[in-house]
Formats: sequence, C-alpha cells, structure tokens
Amino acid sequence: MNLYEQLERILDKVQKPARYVGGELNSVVKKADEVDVRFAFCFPDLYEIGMSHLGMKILYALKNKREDIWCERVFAPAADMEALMRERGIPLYGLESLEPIRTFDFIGFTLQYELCYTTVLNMLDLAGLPVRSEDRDSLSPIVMAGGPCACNPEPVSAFVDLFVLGEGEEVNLEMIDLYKKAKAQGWSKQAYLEAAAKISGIYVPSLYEVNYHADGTVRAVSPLDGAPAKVTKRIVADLDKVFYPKEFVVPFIDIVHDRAMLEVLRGCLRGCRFCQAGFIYRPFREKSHKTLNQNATDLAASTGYEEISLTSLSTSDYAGIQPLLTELLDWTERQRVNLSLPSLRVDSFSPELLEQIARVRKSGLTFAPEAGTQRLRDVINKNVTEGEIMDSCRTAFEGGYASVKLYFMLGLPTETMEDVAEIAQLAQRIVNMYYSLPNKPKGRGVQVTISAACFVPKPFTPFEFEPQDTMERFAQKQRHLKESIRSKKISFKYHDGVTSVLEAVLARGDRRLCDAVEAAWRGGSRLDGWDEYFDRSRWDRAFAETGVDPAFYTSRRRAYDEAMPWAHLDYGVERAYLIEENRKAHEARTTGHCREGCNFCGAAALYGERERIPPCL
Amino acid sequence: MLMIPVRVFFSKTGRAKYTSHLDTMRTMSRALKRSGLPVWYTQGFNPHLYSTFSLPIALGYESECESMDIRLVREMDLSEVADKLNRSLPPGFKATRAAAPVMEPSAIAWADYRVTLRYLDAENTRMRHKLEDFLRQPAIEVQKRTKKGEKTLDIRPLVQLLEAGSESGVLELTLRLASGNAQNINPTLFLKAFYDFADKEPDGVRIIRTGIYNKDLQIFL
Repeated sequence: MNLYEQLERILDKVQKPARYVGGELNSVVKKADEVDVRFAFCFPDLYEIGMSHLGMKILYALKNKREDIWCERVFAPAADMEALMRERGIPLYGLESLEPIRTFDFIGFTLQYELCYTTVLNMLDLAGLPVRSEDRDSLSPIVMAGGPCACNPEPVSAFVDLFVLGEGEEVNLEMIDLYKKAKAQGWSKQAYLEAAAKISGIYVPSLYEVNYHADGTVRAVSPLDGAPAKVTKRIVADLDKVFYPKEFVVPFIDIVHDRAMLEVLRGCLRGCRFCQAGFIYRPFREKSHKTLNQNATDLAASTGYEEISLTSLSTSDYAGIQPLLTELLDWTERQRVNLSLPSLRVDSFSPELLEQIARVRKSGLTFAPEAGTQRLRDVINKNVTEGEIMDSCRTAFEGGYASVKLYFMLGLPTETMEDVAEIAQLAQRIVNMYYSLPNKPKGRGVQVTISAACFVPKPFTPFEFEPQDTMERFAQKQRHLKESIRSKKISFKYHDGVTSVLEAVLARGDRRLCDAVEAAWRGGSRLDGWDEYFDRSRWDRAFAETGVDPAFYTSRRRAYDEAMPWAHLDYGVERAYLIEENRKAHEARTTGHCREGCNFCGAAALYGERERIPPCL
Repeated sequence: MLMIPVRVFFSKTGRAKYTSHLDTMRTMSRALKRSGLPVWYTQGFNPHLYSTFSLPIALGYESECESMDIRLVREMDLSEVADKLNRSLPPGFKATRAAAPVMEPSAIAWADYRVTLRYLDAENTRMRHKLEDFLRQPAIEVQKRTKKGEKTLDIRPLVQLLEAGSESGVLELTLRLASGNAQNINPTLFLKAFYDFADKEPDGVRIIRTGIYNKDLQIFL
C-alpha cells in the first residue's frame, strides 16, 4: 500500500484533511529520479500558519526553479492527525510527493518563534529520525534551520546540524551546491559540516565549544576544526535583483494570510529598542515601485487572489508608497483586486493614505503606540507623540471609522504603574476626542480596543541586557490596567504571561537549554504557541528534571560586558551600539531614524567591501 | 448590463475530494479570475464573483457531475468556457462542459453513486449476500441528524441498488439515492446502516457520484 492509500484510510477521520494531501494550484511536482537534491521545507506549525509565511514561499520557489532541486512543503500535523500517523506507522512526508522525508537530502526548518522548538523535535521524530544531531551519522539528511530565531539558535543547537543566518536566497543554494559535491564524492557528514562552516552565513554549532563561569554565565565560545570565530549573517544587497516568486501555492483551505504578498522592503529604519526584527533585518533596503508592480502583476495573474498586501516591518516608511499605490490602483481596481496595507505607523497616517485605503476596504484600523506615556515611548524609542496618535485617530474617525485598536506592551524597561494606568487614560482621551468631533460618524458609538502583550527581551536589541517582569508582576500590571479603565467604550485584551516568560527563557538561552527542550518534548509538549496545546506543567517538569532555573535567563540584568550565548554570531549591528542605545533608553533619550541621518549602528558593514558610511540610504 | 447565465459542469476527483464545498467555491472563484472569462460580479459595497452550486458534493467524496452557475457579461462561444477554465484549475478539478442551464436546481431528485468497498480478508462475496439481506428488509430505519436534532427515518424507499459486482476483495455497488431539497440521503448514511447490519466495516471505501437526475430520471442539465 503506498502512502496515499494509507492516508485515504485516515483522512476521513481528521479535521481539515486538505492540510495533509497537497495538490494545490502551483505546487511543484517533479520526478524524483530527475533531481539531485530533495529538500523538505518544514514549517514547525500547522498548515494554516506555515502556508501564510512569505519566506517559505520565496525559498520554495527559489529552490524549485533549479531543475536539480525538488523542494517540498511539510507542516506539523494537528493532534488528531499525529495520533493516527503514529498509530498506523505513517512517517512525516512531503506534500508534493507524499513520500517520507526521512530519505531526503535536506530537512530544513524555519524558526519563526521560540515556542516552535518542541514542534521541530516532534517533526524530526515523526519523520523517523533521531532528534539529536550527534545521533544522525550519515550525510543525509542534513537537518538545517533558518529564520529569525537562528540569531540565537543555542537552545536548539543539539538538534540541528547547521543554521543559516540572515537572508536565505543565496546561501541556501551555496549550501546545496556544496552538498551535491559532498554526495558525489562520498564525504562524511562531519566533512560536509566542516566545509559548510566556511560558507559565509552558515553556523555549525557542533564546531563550537562553550565554556561557562562559575556563576553560570558564558565565559567563551570557541571555534573548533577551523570554523570561523564569528559567523556573519547574509544579506542580499540589491532587492531589485533578488529572486521573487511569480507564483504562490494557492491553498484550498482558508489560511491565516490568504492573499498575494508583496515584499516592499527589508529592514526597518526606526530602531524601536524592543523590536528584534527592527535590528536583525538591517540594513534598510527598498524595492523599486517598478519591481513591486511587476511582482504584483505576476502574482495576481498566477494565483487569482482577490487581495494583495504590501508587507514589510513598516510599509508607510517605503519612500515610493504614493507612486506605488497609484500604479497598483490603476489596474487592481479594474481587476477587482483589493490592496491591503498592514504595518502603518501612527505618524504616517495621512488623510491621503486613508483615502487610498478606503477605496479598497473599510475594516478596523490598528495603531501601535506600545506605551501609554511619552516618557516610556521615549525609552523604547517609539518616536511617536500623543499628538500624532490623536491626529491619526481623528483622521480615522473623520474618515468614517468608529473603532480603533491600539497595541501596547506591558513590562517594558523602567515601566511604572503610572505608565500602565496611562494606557487607559490615553484610550479615554481618544474616546473623549471622538465625542467632541462635530463630524463624527453618525449614530455610532466609538470602540477603542487596547491589546497589551507581555514584553520579551530579545537578542540583538538594545534591551537584550534587560530583566523581564515575572509572571506575578505581569498579572499585577494587567489587573492595574483593567481597573484603570472607566469606560465601556474601551475593551482590553491580554494574554497571561506564562508563554511570554517561556519565550524569554528560550530567546536568550544558551545550549544548556537543549536538554530542557528535549525533556519538554518527551513530556508531550508540541505546538506550544497554541493555548489548546500548551501545558505549563510539562515545561516546569522539564526545567526541574534538567536542572534549569528559568529565572537565570529571564529575571537577571545582564552586564554590558557579559558574554551572550550568541556572542559568536554577527548580525551587523555592533554590540557597542546596542549598549549605547540601552544607556539612552535609561535616560529616556531618543535616537532618530535612519533617514534623518545615519546612527552608525554597524549594519552597513553587511554590504561587504563597499564604503561603510551611509550606503543604506 | 448583459448577463448570460451559464452552467459549468465539472468533476472533482482524486485528492480534490478533500476540498470542502466552501473551499471548492473559493477554488472555482479564483480559477475563474485567473481564466480571464468575462464573469459577472455582484454589485454593491463588496462586489464578489457570482457563482452558485447545485447539490455540492460533501467532503470526502469524488464526483463526475458537479455544477456551478455563473453569469457572463459578454457573448462568447460556450464551448470555450470549459477549456479556458481548465487551464486555470488545480489538479483534480476538471470542467467537462458549459451550457445554458436547462433545469432548476430544485428539480433534482436522485443521484447515483459508485461505491467501492474493499475487504482485505476477501469477505466481499459474503458481504454481497449480506447486502442483499439488508435490502430485502421492508424498512431500514436510520438516525438522521437534522437542524432540529436527531430523527428516525426509513431510508428503504429512498435507496435503490442498481448494480452490484464482487471480485478480488472488492464489492462494487451502484446506488441511486434520493437527493435534493426535499429528501437527501448521503451515501455514508446508507453505508453506516449497512455496516451495522453486517457488523463489519470495510478496509477501504471510495465513493464517486456519477450522475444527478430529476424525478423523471432525466439527467440534470
């Protein structure tokens, strides 16, 4: 019985069987005997989440464009499917071939968030592979990983053979080409990894030894066997030349982001001090509006999507936003394609921009002031004033919107209970402003939604030195905020701090956490990002069994001269710059954005040999 | 505005059976968009591509006789519609023809299904006899879920066995089941009742809808 026949027997017993059979429009099916390298691109979460991810779409199309590579998609099965797969002995398979990935050449994971780590182990296990790198002897499959969490991969370093740091378009192909040579010449896995470590942007954790001080902090990370002392992340310098898919796989089932996506720019010029993406994706680079219009035309034609979204960390910072919208709207309206613009900044929200969004669709509007007081917004370098927040909301209300959603964070460095209460006051002032407008939308009450996340300090940000609030402290702040709200027009959404604290442990952890991650997985943890799967007690047990004190990683202020577990990884932005920014944060001093003048963060060096001084903008 | 109603007949086979009706609607709507066919959009605040489906097949079954009604805003040779659409459809979906609708969807009364039951223990012949016994009953009462809760229904008058063949571990049946707005019998409802009666479940089941008819057994057009 082939795998499809085995699947047919179980798929009528599971939720959303279309997740598990492939066959979607634009999925790439090749002949296994006509390719040299088979690559399983694994997203350690459910189909609906993974299929929404732009990076996977790019790398899938990039690899499949090469005739000698067949890249397939693999997602984590939900619990009902996993149980049946284990019961019937069905191994994890690629959606294109429906063949077990165990025999593939590469198994690649993208690490988008820390809470996916146990899912990575579970997927390796479902594939029928030992989870630890050291227990997999043969050259294939090479288990690799990339994505933002690769900037501190130490908590999963025992499971993954190699990590790709930064942007994958070039380095993935270099990694595969080297593998083809290794396979042809019969190299050992060790020989391949040692050679791969010499490719810029590839980090092989087994080639580094970590020593610790008596107090548990890292003393040194030392390279072995000729591995480089520092591994620098890769970037693609010219975004108008970077590969971009002409086709997206169009899923049958509804996924989280079911639309064509344009990648408008990479990096961010703002420098919000809490934001890891804003630092690890530097330098700021934009695509030309001509390239973007072409990308949009190609995708609309190949997918039939009724919506195109302009994605990036901050789309309103895109210099060519007006010409781009004009060019796009010229044909999208005619073809009944909607445009969506997520990630707009409060201070860039003009009546003109509103009008262009309004031509498309009127949904809710979301702004992210992040903190309730100007002092705290200056601490985090949000560089948004209350005046700008009020102006944006006024523009929205005058444009016919009657509800706004505001994103905040609790637990930011230096935060006091007054800062917390001010979140409620700010929302109240927005409500009052609404009722003071002579031309407010008629007959409708206003709705202001406050959504407050728990702050997680992340590597390669100016807040990498900061302690995180404890769960108890988060709960106090949430209560305080709730009690500070006086109006029924304001609703408050939050999530308990447990997963944020776990995220903080894993984000800034070292390789001693590998045992805990494995213990948590063996105890049943997987899909930890989902409330219905997450169970705190499994992690508590895992930490206890493996002698890990989570507070060591979360609640401790780290000295400026402490060696971080990721000290041997280089994301461009210099340590000295992060320290300087941390100092300014504690003095509530702001730093201007890159267009106002280069701050010499160091990321320009990622361009390579070129002049160091502002090549970014 | 010119509006030409067109009924597109299509098949949904292989892995496409795992696409639910809602997902099929979206798949078709995107394929129509990619095809460049001059389809009519609903007017109003949030225009969307107009399409309506007659007796959509349930998740898990294949079908050779699905139909979707759309409207064209430009005269064209209807024989081109299926070809154009086929160039845009994902594997498993195939437009078979397009024509002006003849019958109202409410005229649908029967549907035929080809059912393949596989028995790894080669009990197919015994099961065929069981099936004959099962159908010889004067009444077959099943529990059917409705919007108002469970109710007991005698499905015997609503089911006809047109053909039964049995060879090499496989029992193949052609069933005609009452279908449509008035009375709709899902093949699984019938099969579950049979499994209970025979006290045995097959190891594999494949169900393909092969035809849809009105009360006079004319093919739905």
